[in-house]
Amino acid sequence: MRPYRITLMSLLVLVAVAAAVLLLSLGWGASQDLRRQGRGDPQAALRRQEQELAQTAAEHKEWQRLPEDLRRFRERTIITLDGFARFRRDLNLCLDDNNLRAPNISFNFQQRQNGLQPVAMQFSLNGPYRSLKKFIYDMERKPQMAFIRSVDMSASGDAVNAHFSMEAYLGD
Amino acid sequence: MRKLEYNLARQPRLDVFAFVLRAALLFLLALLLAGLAAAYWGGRRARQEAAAPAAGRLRDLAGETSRLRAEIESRQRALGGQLAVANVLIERKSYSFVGRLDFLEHVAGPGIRLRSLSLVNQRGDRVSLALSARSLPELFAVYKKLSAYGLAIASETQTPDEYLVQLSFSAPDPEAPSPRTAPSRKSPQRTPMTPRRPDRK
Repeated sequence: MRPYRITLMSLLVLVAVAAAVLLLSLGWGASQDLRRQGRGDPQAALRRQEQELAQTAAEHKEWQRLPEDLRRFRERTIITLDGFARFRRDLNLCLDDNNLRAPNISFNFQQRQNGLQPVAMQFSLNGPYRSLKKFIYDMERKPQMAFIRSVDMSASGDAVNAHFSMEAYLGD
Repeated sequence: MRKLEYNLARQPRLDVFAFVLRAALLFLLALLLAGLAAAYWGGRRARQEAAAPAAGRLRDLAGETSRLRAEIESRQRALGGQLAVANVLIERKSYSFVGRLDFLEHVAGPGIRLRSLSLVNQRGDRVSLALSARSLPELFAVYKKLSAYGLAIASETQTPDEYLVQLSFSAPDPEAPSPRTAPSRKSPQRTPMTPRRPDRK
């Protein structure tokens, strides 16, 4: 009788061990799945990462192009010393075209910053409003890096007195 | 005389069939449980193997993104100053005095006369002006038009002939379409200038 009983007990232990292994496996697997769900769906994470890479690559491309863009920007808009002589001729032409006289134009060459030298210009004009507006329009259209910083206008009979502050940027 | 039969065995007699049945059932149950556990682990492993390439690709993409980001930051450090200067200059160059004059012409009705005007080329600037109006309704028509632009009335003087006012308002967007007078039929064009990099991070 005893060997038979031992056999049955051994088989019972085997069943218990198998059941325990199965239950532990299911429990461990479920906890792993929960942890992975907390980190998000791997496919969704992959898509997000692909989008981020595409955006970063586009931005990187723009930054790669930047030195060339900056070079072209300087070439097209920053005024050289020769260009500044032309700019001053243009300014006088603009004044003439609009029948305006600037008796006194002051130029203030300021300290060079970031490779650029600002030149502040100040002058006063007197004339019809339309001529002054046309002069402003002509100056705004110029591609060079010269712009009006401020305008103060006051009525004087039928004409307008205008005080202009302008700024031009000179480069190499 | 009846013959007596004594069972002298120390243990009861074994039912072999019942024993084999029980043993076989237990063995099959253990086999079934072990099989289920093995199938579960096999399935998990197959899923993990299928997900492994995705995880590898994710790592590759993250590495490439970090590399590009580092390059961008290095370029930002190297060129950020020049870029900022270029963008400030472009912003100033894009400021339209003519656009603001057009706007004032639009605002000022027939009975309004501008006495003085001050315009400054800077972001978020306020236009300061002094004007005179022939009548109160004309003056309030101007107030009403400027009320949408942060109108601030500094002073108002009433004389027998007119109303004198000093006021300021936030200049509207220079791109606002309002060309009215001859010289600005065509709005001043923006200079085609490119630098303006995103500051995304």
